Amino acid sequence: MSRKGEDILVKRYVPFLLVLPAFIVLFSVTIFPTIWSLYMSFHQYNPIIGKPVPVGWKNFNYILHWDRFQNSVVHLFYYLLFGVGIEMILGITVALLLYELIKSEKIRLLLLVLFIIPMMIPPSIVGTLWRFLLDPFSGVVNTILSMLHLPVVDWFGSKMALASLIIADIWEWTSLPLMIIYSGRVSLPQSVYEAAWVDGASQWTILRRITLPMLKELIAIALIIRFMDAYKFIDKVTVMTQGGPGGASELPSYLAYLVGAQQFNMGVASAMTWIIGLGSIIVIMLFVKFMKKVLKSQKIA
Amino acid sequence: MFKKKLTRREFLKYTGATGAALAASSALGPVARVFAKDKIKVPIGDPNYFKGMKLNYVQDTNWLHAPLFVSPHIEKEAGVSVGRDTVEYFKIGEGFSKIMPQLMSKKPKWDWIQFSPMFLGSFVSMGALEPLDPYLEKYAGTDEYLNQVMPAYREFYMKWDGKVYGVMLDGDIHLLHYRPSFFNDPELKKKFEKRFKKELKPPETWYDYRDTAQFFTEELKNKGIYGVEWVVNNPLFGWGFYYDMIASKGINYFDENMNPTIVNDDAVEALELFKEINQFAPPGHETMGIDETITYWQSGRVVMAVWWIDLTEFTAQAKPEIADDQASALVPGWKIGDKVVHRAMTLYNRIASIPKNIPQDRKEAAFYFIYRLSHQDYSTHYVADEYSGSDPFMKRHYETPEEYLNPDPLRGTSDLWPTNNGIFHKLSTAKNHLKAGYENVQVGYPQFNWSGAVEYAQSMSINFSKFISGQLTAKQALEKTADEWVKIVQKYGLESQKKQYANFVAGAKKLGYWK
Repeated sequence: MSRKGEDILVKRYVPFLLVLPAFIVLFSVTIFPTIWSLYMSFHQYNPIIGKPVPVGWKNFNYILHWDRFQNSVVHLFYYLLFGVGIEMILGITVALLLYELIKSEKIRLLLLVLFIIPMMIPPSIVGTLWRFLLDPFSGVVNTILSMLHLPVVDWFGSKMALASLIIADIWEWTSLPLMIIYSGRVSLPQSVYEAAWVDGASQWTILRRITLPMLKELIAIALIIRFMDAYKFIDKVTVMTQGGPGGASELPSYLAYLVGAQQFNMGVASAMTWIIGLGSIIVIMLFVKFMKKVLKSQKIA
Repeated sequence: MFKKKLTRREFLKYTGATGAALAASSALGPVARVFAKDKIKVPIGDPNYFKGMKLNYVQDTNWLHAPLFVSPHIEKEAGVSVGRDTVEYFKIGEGFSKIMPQLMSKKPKWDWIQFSPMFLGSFVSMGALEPLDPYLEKYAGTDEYLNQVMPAYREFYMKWDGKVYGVMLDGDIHLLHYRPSFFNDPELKKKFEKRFKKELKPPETWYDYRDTAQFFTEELKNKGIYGVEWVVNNPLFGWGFYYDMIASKGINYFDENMNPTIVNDDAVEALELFKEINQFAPPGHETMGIDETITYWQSGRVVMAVWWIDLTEFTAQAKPEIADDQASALVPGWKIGDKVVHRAMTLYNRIASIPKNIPQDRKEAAFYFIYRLSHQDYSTHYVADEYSGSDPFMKRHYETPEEYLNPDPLRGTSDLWPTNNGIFHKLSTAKNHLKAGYENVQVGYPQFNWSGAVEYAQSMSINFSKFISGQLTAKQALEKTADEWVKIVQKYGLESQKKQYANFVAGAKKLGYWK
């Protein structure tokens, strides 16, 4: 074979060979299981009962009409609204305050490290920690409330269980948007701000017209990361409330885990994960669209 | 082959002798079979018998180290062992999902598995477990071993469809735990007698339990002490604490045709009384889980608890100061006629089984290992060992309270079991512990142990929890549970469920739990 022919072969096949290992890994651990779960979602399959039996849309129909799943979706929206919402607001506020108010680099660094610590703790440990802190009988929080002569709270009762999960989650994950927004703020060009000061812009105007618009992509990224995490929110539920009492803190992913990994109803669990996955994609797309619209209407897009 | 032709007299002599031998064998049963010639003597006494085979196994993380510290003894007996490098762990609640894929594979990686018998029916119906009867037949003394196992465990948790599929490793049972110092307080005694016109003593009926719980909470709440506590928020076990009450009313799960039998006035009365009693538990009683109940008990601020047998053991280890201010008794019951009927739930438990799809030589070795591990020779010692995680399951275990006071002779100390001092400090504490255990296990009531066990349990737990938190009435909770159970039956197939439930019915009839 001529040199030219060899070159053509190398150019044609070597790139494929180079990506082949990555493709095999990706196919085995992501693509194949996804296709398999789609296939399973149209079957009734419980290994104890027997082989998969095709059931069409029955699993989806069952899930969408299942009161427990419907409640878990309501809980998820509650969590997204209050949990992720507060994390974002707190994260942005603290990040900007940290940058604007703390002038010493060393203190800023120290505070950043302190803020990051909760995020570095495994979620199951965070759950255990908060389980102790919020313990209605002997937890620190209720002890303090008693000392202040305030009424104690049944933190894991049906009215507060989900809120307790949200509190623990805010404590752990506020630092994620904080870090992203802080790094974004650091990288913003100082010249823009100097120009604004020369023009006599107030701090509020600078925040509204310069800082937030320039950080909007980062805010969106932080929000989307937290949204995606919210759909996988299972560890703290397991440790803190086990979805209880009476399903009052069940979230869709935890329910899918119970149905799939404990009851082994693979068909129903697969259909549930598809509903959760598609639901999350739709919500995120709607959110991105909404955000663009809002920013445009405020003329800061 | 006979070389000589038999005379009539000789024929009668031989057949008579054979008949007599058979009759004797039948009458003597176990004894005769033990001495049969072809049985293998136990312990084998040949360290090369299984050629140094090392077995792989899986166990839950809450069970501790009995296999590891018994292993050197079994290795000396027969050359089969386990080691730290051959054990895998799973979390309680994830056992089924961890074990089942392996059992379904053609080459399971474990030679034996430790699991809760709530999955026994599922695993057997999948054809995934090796029946152990042929192995038991091979060894001398196995009848005595089987007779030693308490009937509530043997009938429900070792056998399936008349065959043995598992050997017991841990006998879980609910007991009524209480703090004698409160019951013996003269002032409290006087007040109780004045108010309720009866003696202050460990309650015998559920209504006594309510009165006693109410009394202690109302008298001692200002000191931060509460009358009672219960596990109410646990998807896998929460239902079982209510079922102590409902089972003692004589209510089983289903009738023989798999129609739920839990929706009736008796069940409603039991459920409502449960909620009433639960009001006297510490704050957070609506959602109390396993960890919280242990913590509260050990804090010394709860007077009574229906809990697993090992609560007093944990406490003796963790809080020596209240170790001897603990006692146990029969779980309360219902007065039916002139008798009080008690039932104590045998929730969780641990058995060992052998996967069907492993090579025969490994099955033989695995059987010997798990049989010896379960055998009274070793288990009598380790059920009283703080580093085993096992509780009594054999008659002999209840007869040896001194084991709880002494170091376990099976082991020294190591990084995994750093102390070896015995669990209790007083013989009277150990004796009471075992007496209560024995009394309760004699009325031990089984958990779901057929296909769908987790779903049945979770359905009842969640509806029960909804009732406790005020989202459903007692009747609604029971009706919803029954509806869901019917759906589960349909999903698994009525005939298959009926067949599997027949095991429960057979065991219940044998133990007198079936009306």
